[in-house]
Amino acid sequence: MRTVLFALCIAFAAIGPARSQDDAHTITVTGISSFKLVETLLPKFTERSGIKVNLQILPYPQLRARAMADLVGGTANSDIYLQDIIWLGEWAKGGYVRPLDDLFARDAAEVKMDDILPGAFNALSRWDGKIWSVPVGAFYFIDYYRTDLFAERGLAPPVTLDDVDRAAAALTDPAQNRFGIAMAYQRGGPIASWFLATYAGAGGTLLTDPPRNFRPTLDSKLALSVLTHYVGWLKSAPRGAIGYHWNDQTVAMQTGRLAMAPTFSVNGAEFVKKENSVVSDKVGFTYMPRADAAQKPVIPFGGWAAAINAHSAKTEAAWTFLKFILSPEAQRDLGKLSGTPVLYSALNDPELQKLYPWLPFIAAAEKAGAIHPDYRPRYAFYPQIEDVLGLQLNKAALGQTTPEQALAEAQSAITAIVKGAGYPAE
Amino acid sequence: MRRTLLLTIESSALQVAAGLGVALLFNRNWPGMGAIRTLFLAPMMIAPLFVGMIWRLMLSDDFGVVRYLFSLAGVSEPPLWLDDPDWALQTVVFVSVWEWTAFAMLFVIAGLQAIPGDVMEAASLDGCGAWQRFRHMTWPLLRPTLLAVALFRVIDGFKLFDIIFAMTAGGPGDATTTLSYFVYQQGLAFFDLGYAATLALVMLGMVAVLTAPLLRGGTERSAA
Repeated sequence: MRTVLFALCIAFAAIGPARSQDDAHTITVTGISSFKLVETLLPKFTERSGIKVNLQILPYPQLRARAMADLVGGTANSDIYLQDIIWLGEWAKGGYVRPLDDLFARDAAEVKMDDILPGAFNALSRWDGKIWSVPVGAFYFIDYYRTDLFAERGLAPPVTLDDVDRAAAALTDPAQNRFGIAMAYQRGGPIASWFLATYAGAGGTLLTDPPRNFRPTLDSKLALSVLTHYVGWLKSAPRGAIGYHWNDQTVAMQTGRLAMAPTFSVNGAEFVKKENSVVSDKVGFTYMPRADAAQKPVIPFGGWAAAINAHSAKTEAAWTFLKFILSPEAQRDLGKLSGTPVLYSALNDPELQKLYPWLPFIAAAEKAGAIHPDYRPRYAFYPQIEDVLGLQLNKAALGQTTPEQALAEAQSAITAIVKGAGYPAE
Repeated sequence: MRRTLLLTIESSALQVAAGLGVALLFNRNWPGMGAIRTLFLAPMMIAPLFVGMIWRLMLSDDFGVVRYLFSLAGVSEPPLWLDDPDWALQTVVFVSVWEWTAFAMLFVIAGLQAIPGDVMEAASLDGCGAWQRFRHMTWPLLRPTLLAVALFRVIDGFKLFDIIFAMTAGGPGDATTTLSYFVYQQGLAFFDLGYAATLALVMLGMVAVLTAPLLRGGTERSAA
């Protein structure tokens, strides 16, 4: 018996180094469901680099919880985490992820910086003058609409908030199960994010002038006007829209129930996929409605980047993976599936443009600097802002408070959050 | 706090009552009863998060089966179960009862089967009707079991989180924001771990206070 045990110990000891050697060539990447598409590219990556990827896909709240536990705890259960745009400031300030400037500089010949979409790169990866991550998915908030329904009624694509009101009312026909517009109205992230995108499109910004002045602007006439329109659109929305998450809005558009669905381009991609949508060949797009037609249009921006855990011992392997994801070839392949590439070369690819007709529009907006990266402030306190704003907006949508009351409550709560976090708000 | 107490007390009471009713119904040796009992346990075997997701889909006003069934019954506009502040908490209670009644039933069936058959038979021979047998024999003998079930359900009800997370995210408005959901937000959404830990300790104290009468009831009964 002793001999057998001794032999087993020897065997384990022999296997040990082999396993750890194997582990050194395996990186763990933890991301959100939209990043699962990368799975199709992993065999190619492993074949070229010899690095295996353990891909962990989690729902948004779990990703946030696991990433924060790992990053704050100073452990490295995952070498790379997908980073939502709104986490950038928090992760950079906390030193949770590794700055990538030296690696970008070292491999400048390999990574073509001028091919990366500047709006996306600045919004997703640059903070306090440093690069903290690599953009992997660029989501542009634009107003999708049904070309056939607008043509039937002789309506032009909406330019202003008033245009949206008129078009939504004209195109609503409950008897035919068709509605003019639906936004996200569910409490929390959905309504806060969709409202702020509408506010930004109309020319507003939530905070006055960060980093100098973080005073919220919800007491402005513009904020009230936008919220009044936003809540008013419920009259032209399906009855259940009051509880819509953005996924519900996507499904409603895909199933032909909506005439307009302002949303991120990653959801817009689902509208034009023949296998998923009954309106795939009837989808038009334009900027988010403005308060005044004379205003310069902007595109609220969101999206995802990939960052290297500051405590990862596998920086080189992780960086090799990030370079692969950022390569024109991978971006083209991923872009075909998601419609959200982060390189000009992929945006200008004719095959991609055929699949997602708004890509030239995005490329032009990027060139014109029309991207609004801070429609949701990229600071550590944003989740709290989103919660209080999401609650007050939802109450206004439910009719429990007036838009004025909701905005006043949110203004006061957000000011307290910002000041509590130590930022000036005068 | 009021919502948390309402949810806990209402869902626990309904689960125990429904569990007792179903157990009395199923405590028979009819053919196929074993299979029916097993089927009845199915909701309990589904992870609560998925229970919430499934019910959210079923209750969708756009394409949910519940609205379809109402339309068959001639009701074209049933309440917005999850999106109307007057209904949302009651809908969460309903789903919780749907999931956990089987748990109560399981306990009560075990309690019923532990009651000696000859005692009940003697009562029948003495002329006791079904109601009298239940009132004076089954109920007193089942009381410790029911208290134990209530204890478990109150504890679980107080920390109910998954169903709310998946179905309503604390809304509409703050209609379903319970203490446990609030703790989740503080801890895992805002990462204010100190505050969340403090709230969790307060919750522990409250559960202890809430369950003390149940524990006392069970102990007194045992001592008697």
